[in-house]
Amino acid sequence: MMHIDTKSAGTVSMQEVPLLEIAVVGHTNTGKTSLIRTLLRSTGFGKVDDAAGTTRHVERATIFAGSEAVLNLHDTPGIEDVYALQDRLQVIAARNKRCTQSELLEKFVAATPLHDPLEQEAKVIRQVLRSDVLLYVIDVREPVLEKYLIEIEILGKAMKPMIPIFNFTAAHRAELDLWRKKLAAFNIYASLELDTVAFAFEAEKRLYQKIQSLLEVHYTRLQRLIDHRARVWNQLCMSAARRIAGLIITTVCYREHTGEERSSADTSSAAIRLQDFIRQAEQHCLADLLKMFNFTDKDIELQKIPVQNGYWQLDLFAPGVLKAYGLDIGSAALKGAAAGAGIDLMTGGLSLGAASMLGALAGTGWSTFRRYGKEIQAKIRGTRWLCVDDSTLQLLYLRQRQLLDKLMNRGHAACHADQVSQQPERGELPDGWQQIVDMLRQNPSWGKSQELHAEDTRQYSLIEKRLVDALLRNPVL
Amino acid sequence: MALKNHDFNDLVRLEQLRHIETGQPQALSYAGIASMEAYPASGFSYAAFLERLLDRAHHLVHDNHLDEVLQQPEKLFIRAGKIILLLAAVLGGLAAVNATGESSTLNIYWLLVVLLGFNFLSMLLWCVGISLNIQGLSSGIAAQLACWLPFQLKKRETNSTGTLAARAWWETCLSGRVGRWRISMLTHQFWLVYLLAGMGVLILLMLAKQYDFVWGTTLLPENSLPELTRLLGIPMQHIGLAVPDGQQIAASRIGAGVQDSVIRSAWAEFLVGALIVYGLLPRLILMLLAFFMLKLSEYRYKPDLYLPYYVTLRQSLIAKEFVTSVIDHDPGMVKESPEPITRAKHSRHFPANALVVGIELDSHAIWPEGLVCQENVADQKTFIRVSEMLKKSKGALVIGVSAHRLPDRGVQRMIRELATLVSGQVWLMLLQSSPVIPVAESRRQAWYRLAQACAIPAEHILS
Repeated sequence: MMHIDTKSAGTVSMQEVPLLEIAVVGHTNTGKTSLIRTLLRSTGFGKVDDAAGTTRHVERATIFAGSEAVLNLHDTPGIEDVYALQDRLQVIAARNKRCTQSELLEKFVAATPLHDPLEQEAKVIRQVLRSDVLLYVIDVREPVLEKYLIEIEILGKAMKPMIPIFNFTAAHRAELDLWRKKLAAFNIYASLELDTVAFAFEAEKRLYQKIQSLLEVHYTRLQRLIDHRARVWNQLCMSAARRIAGLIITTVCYREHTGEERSSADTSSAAIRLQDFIRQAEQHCLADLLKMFNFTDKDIELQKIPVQNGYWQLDLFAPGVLKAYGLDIGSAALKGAAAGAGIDLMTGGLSLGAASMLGALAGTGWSTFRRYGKEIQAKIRGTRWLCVDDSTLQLLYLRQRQLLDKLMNRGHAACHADQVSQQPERGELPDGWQQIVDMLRQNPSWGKSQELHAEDTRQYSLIEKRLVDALLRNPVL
Repeated sequence: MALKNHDFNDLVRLEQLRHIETGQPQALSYAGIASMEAYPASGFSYAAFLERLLDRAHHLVHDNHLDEVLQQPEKLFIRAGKIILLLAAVLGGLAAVNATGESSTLNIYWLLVVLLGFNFLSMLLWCVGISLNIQGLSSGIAAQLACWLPFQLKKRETNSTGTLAARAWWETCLSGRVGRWRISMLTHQFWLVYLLAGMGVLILLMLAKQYDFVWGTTLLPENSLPELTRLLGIPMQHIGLAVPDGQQIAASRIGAGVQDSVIRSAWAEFLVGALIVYGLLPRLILMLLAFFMLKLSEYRYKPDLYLPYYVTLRQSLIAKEFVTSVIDHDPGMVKESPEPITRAKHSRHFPANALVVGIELDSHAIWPEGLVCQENVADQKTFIRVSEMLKKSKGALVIGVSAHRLPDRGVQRMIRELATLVSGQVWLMLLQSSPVIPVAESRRQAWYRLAQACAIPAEHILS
C-alpha cells in the first residue's frame, strides 16, 4: 500500500540545506527500481518486471530518518538507445559550438518533444541535471559493451559525481572484475557492490558513506540517516532472533502426556498431537518473521529454503529433512520407530541422556532433590511424556537460523529467486546447546510465558540471550 | 525522548492485549480493525506508533467486549486490598484492647512497644528492602497476599482470556518498578489503618475508663526511661502537645502512689502524641512517597515495543519510512500488455551462403553446427563494417542474438537498419549459452516482438 504525500516532503525540505537529490540511472533492466526498493526495504515502490522500459516515468521517494526528511531518491527510466542519443547530442554540439557540455544536455532536454523516440532518455537527462549525485546501476552479468561506456560518458557531461553500483554480483565475481577494470579506464574507482537480491545492510551503509565523502554539505544529515537505519535494523534483527528463540523454547518445553499403560494407540495419537503443535508453532513463527521483514508471503520464494507462499514446503518430520541439514539420522530413526518421527519418549521427565546425569547428582543431597524432586516423583509414578527429540530440535534451530540469515541478507528486489544450489548448508549449534535443551526440558512451564515465575526469569532470559546471540552470531562475552 | 504522556492504564491494556493475542489469537475478532491496516498512518515516530496501537487496542477491546475481562484483574486486586485493610483495622483494634487489658493501670512503655514496635520493625525492613532492592523484604506479607491470592484463584478458571489478561496485569502492575511501589503503597496503607484503628480504640477506651499510667524497669538504669520520655517529647512539644515534666514522670514510677488527673492527662496526651509522631506520621510520609514513586514509575513505564509482537504490528500499522510521488509523468502511460505472438514453424529452406553476424554476443554464445559467425556487432566500428559487408553481398542475413539477454530499443534499431540493407531474406537466431542460462517465455516474446518490429517473419526466427 503506497501512501502518496507530496505535502510532507515539501514542508520538511524547507530547511536551510535543501534535500539531497539522488538520481538512480542506468541501462534498461539493470535493476534501478529494485535498488530503490531495497534501500526503502519495501516491495511497494514502482514496478519491477523482467522487460525493457518497465519504468517510464521519474518517481521520487523521500527517505526519512525518524521524522526528518533526508534525501530524495529518483527512479528514472532506463537508457535504451545510447547511439541515437549520442548522434543527437553531436548534432546539437555542432550547432552550438560555444556551449558547455552540460548546456548541451539542457538543450537536448528542451528540444526533445513528447513523443520523440528519445523521450525516455530525455527524462533521464532532465533528472540527472536536477540531481546532486548519480547512482549508475550496472548488471554485471552483461558483457562490457561499448554502449554502456558511452552511457557513462554522456552522463559524465552533467558534471555530477557518479557512483557505479554493481548489481547481481553474488555469483558473478569474474564479470565484476572485468567491469571494474573497464571503469578504471574512466577514472572511476569509487564503485559499490550492492546486490539487490542478496542484500546486506552493510552495503546500504557503505553507499550512504560514499555519498557522504562526495558531498560534504550533506554529511551530518546522512550520518543521522545511517545511525537511524542502523538502529532500526539492529532492533529488527534482535526482535526476529527473539521470536525464533521463543519458538525454540516453546518447542523444547513442550510435553505431551501419555497414559501410563504403554498402549501404542495412545502413544501415537499423542505423537500426532505433538507433531501438529510443533508444525503450527513453526508456521506461526515464519509468518511473524516474514511480516517483520516486510515481505508479503506472495512475493518471495526464499533461496534454498523450502518456503513458498509463506508456508514451509518441506515438512519438519518428513524423511530426508534431517539428512539435508547434515544431521545424524540413525538415532532419530530408531526412536521414531518407537513413537513417531521426531519424537523422544521421556520417562519421569528426563530424557535418557539426562537420566545418567541424575545418577551422578543423586549423591549431592537436598539441592538435587529440590531441583529434580518433581522429576523423581514422576519417575516413581511412572509418568511418561512425549517430547521433541534432539535431532528435530537441532533441525528446527538450524532451519530457523538459515531462514533468519536469508531474511537479513535479502533485498526486496527479487521476484524470482535464483536457485543457486541445492547443497545443504551445515550450520552450527550454539555453544552449550545440550545444556540449554536439558535446562528447558526440565522446566516445561517456561514454554508458556504466562506461567513463568519471578525467580525463573533470570535463567530464562539468560537462555534467551544465548540463543539470540547465537542466531545473530554475536560474539559470546 | 520527549513523549506525550500516555495514560498508564492504556499501556496496561496494550500489554493485556499482547498477552491475549499471542496466547489465544483465535479468541478475538479482527473484523473491526481490518480497515486500519489498509490506511497506514504517515507519522514515523514512536509517539505516532503508540497512538496507532492505542487506537487499534480501543477498537479491538470494543469489538470483542473485552472491557470487563481486562478490568477484572485490577478490580480483584482492589477488592483484595480492601479486605486486607479491613483486616488491618481489626488487628489494630485488637492490639489496643489487648495491650490495655482489664487492669486500670497502664504500663506506658509496654503499650508503646506493643502498638509501635511491630510497625517500627516492618518500617525498618521496608527501608532495607527498598534500598537494597529485595522484593521479599520491602513488601509485607499482607500485601503479598493481596497480590498473590486473586491470581491463584484466577488461574484455576477455565476462561483463559481472563487468565492471560490477569497475567499481563500482574506483569505490568505488580512486578518490576511499578509493582514494587504499588505493593509498598499497600503495605504502608495497611500499617496506617492498623495504627489509626489502634489509636481510635485507645482514645475510646481512655474516654470511657480511667487509667493510671506507670513505668518501671528491672534491667535498665533508673534514669533511662525518664530520659527517653524527655527525648521522645521534644518533637511533640514543637507541635503543642503536653509532655509530662520531670516531677510527673517521677510520680508515675511503679509503686509511687495515687495519680492525679493532671498527670493522667499529661501521659494520655504523650501516648497519643507518640502514636501520631512516631507511628502515623512516618507511615503517612512513606505512603505519600510510595504514591509519588508509583506515579513516577507509571509515567516512565514504556512497553517493550521491540518485542516481535509489536514489530509485526508496526509493519502493518505504520507507513514505511518514505513517501513517494511521480514527478515526471509518462504521457503514454496506457501500455496494454502486448498480445503474445504464436511461434511459427521454422521455414525449411534455410539459406545457404548467408552472411552470419552476431549482435552483442559474449564468448558464451553457442552457434549451431555449420554456422560460423563472421562478425559480432558490439560497437559502432563493427556495425559500420557489417553494414559495408551487407551492401556488397546479395545473399541472406542470419542475425544471432543471445536469447537470455533483453532486447532494448538500441538493439532493435540496429537490427532494423541492418535488415533494410539486405536484399535477401533476414533470419533471427536465438542462441543458447554455455553454461545454459534458462530463458523465460517473456524474454522469448520480447525477441519475437523485436522481429515483428523489424519486419522479420515469425517463421524466420530460429531458436
